[in-house]
Amino acid sequence: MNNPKDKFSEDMLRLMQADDSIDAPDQAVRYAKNLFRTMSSQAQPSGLRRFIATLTADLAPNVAAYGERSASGAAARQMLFTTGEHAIDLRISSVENGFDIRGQILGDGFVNGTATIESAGFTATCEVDENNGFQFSTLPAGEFGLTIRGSDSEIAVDKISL
Amino acid sequence: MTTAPETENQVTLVSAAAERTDARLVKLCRRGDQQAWDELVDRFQRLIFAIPRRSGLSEEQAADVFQEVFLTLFAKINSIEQPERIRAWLVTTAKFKTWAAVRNSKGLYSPATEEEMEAEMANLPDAAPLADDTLVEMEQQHLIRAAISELDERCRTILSMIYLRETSASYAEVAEAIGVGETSISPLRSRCLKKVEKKLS
Repeated sequence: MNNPKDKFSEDMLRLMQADDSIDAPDQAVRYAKNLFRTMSSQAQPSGLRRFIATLTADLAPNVAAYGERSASGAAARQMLFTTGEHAIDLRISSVENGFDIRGQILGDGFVNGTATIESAGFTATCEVDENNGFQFSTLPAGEFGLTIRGSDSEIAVDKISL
Repeated sequence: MTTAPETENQVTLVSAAAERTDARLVKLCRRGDQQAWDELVDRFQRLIFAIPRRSGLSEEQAADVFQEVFLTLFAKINSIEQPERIRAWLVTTAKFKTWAAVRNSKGLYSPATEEEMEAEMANLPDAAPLADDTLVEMEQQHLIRAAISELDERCRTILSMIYLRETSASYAEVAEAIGVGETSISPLRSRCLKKVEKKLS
């Protein structure tokens, strides 16, 4: 009798070899994807409060901030954006193929929310984690807008230059 | 955890990681994330299309069922109670809509509710194309495909060429595709299979 591990391997192979499924037609897949785009735009969440955050600190790497005696040794540029109830701390690092951004929201109501960064022809979205953090990797250079959407409000940063 | 029933001839593949990914995508969709929706469609498109096709519907009819399933998903995405079980929800919905399409194509009355449909199906002499065992097998094949899609590019190429094509590629063809000697393919194949097994056991 086969041992369970062998049986597992055999059954997995049998399933793989019996898999005769094919991709759905492109047109049907496009319909399904466009459904969300079309219908979401018709049903925006109501009562969502929108805040525009403004830049209150921009600390470039190896550049002394106002009032500091020596230049920061940090490898990342640090920016702080604030709005009435919240602040967003952004760390921007230059990497081989572009820029990485790590951010943290200071304030409540954004855990499991989404952070979206976009410019003309480019959009990336990630989830806000349990520590209010989010990150984007290898972004191209350019000017971006950042929107963080939570349960009942969203914060927008209009311009981040990378 | 995935709890597909185990039969005498079939192992149970589980993938907590797949369920976590499914749940994350559903939550992002609820927040209006188009990218997450696109990923959800890409992730399940084969499985959902396979169900009506396996039941004998034409490609056109199957495409209609496929679109109805995703339309229903969009309409109900905020009320699905267990986002980690979205796969099972999609399969049940596809089964329901497939059966309605089959009945409709034969000019028969189509029950309006899922409960009524289940009762109708229980009285059928042969519901083999949509039998639970068949659907479980299709779900398991979906999990294998999802696990393979998470492997590195070389393993994806090796396993797809050998196992997931209608005509299996030879070791020589695979060796040429990934740029290694033919004798390397057998051990590489074994290592890649182990990685898939690890993800599913």
